[in-house]
Amino acid sequence: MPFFPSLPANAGIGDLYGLNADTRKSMNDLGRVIMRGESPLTSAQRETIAAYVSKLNQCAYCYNGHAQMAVNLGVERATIERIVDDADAAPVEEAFKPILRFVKKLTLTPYAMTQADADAVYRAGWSERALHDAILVCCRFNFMNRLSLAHGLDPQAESADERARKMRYAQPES
Amino acid sequence: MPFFPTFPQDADTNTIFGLCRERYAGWFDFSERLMRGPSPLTPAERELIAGYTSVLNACDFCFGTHTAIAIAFGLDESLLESLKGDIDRAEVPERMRPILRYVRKLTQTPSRLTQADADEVFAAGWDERALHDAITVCARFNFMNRMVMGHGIVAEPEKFMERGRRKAEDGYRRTADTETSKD
Repeated sequence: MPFFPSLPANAGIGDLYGLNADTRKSMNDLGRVIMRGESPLTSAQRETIAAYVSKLNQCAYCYNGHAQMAVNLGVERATIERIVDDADAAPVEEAFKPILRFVKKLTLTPYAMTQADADAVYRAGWSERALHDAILVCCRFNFMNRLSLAHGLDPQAESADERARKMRYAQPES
Repeated sequence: MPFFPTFPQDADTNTIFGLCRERYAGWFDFSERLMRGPSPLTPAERELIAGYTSVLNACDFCFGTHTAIAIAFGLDESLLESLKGDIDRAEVPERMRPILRYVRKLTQTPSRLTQADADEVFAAGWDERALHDAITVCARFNFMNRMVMGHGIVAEPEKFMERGRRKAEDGYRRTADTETSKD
C-alpha cells in the first residue's frame, strides 16, 4: 500500500505527479531524452542499465517494468537475470561489462569512483558521450527508484507488461 | 581531476550539461519548479534537504554549493555545519527533523522505508504535498550527487560562497540560459 493516504492502492509513478502536476511534463521530456534520445548506447542497453540499477536499489516496482522493457527491445530475460545476479559472469558482450561495473559502483558507493573506473570504460572502446549517457541513466534510476520506494508504490499492483506499456517516455510525443 | 579528458580542471555541473545542453531543458525547468516553486517547504528548507542528502552521499561539491545557497537565503552557518553530524542536535529546527530523518533513510537504505516512517512526518503536522516535495528534492540530489561524482567533478571550496550567492539569485533555470548564451 502506498504510504500516502490519498493515493490509490494501485498507484503508479504517473499518480505521483498529481501531487505536483507542474513537474510532470519536464520529467517526461527528460525521460525521453535520456532513455530514447540519440546515444552511443542502444535503447536496449539503457533499459538494461535501468533494470540493473533498480535491482541494486531493491526497487521491484522499477525493476519489473524496465526488465520487461529490455525484453521488449530484444534482450533475453535470462540475460537480465544473470546480470542482476552477477554482471561479470553474464552472457553480454565484454565491452558492456565495464559500463555495468561503473553504474553498480555509482549506485552503491558513489563517493568511491576513481579515474580507473572511467578508464576501464574508455579502454573497452566507449566514448566520453557513451559514459556520460550511462551515468545519466544510472542517475535517473537512483531518482526514480527513490520516488517509487518513498511513496510506497506496490510493485504487484499491475503486471510488468502493463507497466512497460504505460511508460510515457517510450510513447510518441503528443 | 575530472574523469573526462575533454573537461577542464575546474569543470562543474554546467560543463556536464554542456555535453549536450539542448537535451536537458526539461531538467532545468523541473529543477526550478521543484526548488523554487510553490511548496509547503521554503526554498531555504529545500536547500537544507539538498545539503543534507549531499553530505550523506559524501558529495562535497553539492554540499558546498547548496549549503552556500541556504546561507544566502538566511540560514545559519552553524545549522548547515551540524548536518555533518547528528540532526537531532539543537541547531536543527525541530520542525525539520522528521523530514530529515525520512531523507536520511531514503538516501541510505531506500528499500527499508515503511508506513511508520511516513506517519512520523504526517504526525509532525506536515501534509502529503510537503513529504512529496521533500522526497523529490532528496531524489533529485541522489541524481545530481551521482552525476557530479560519476564525472569526477572536483570541489573547489573557495568558489562555494560566490556560486551559492549566484544560484540563490538566478535560480535553476537562469544558469542554463546564461550558459547557452555563452556557447
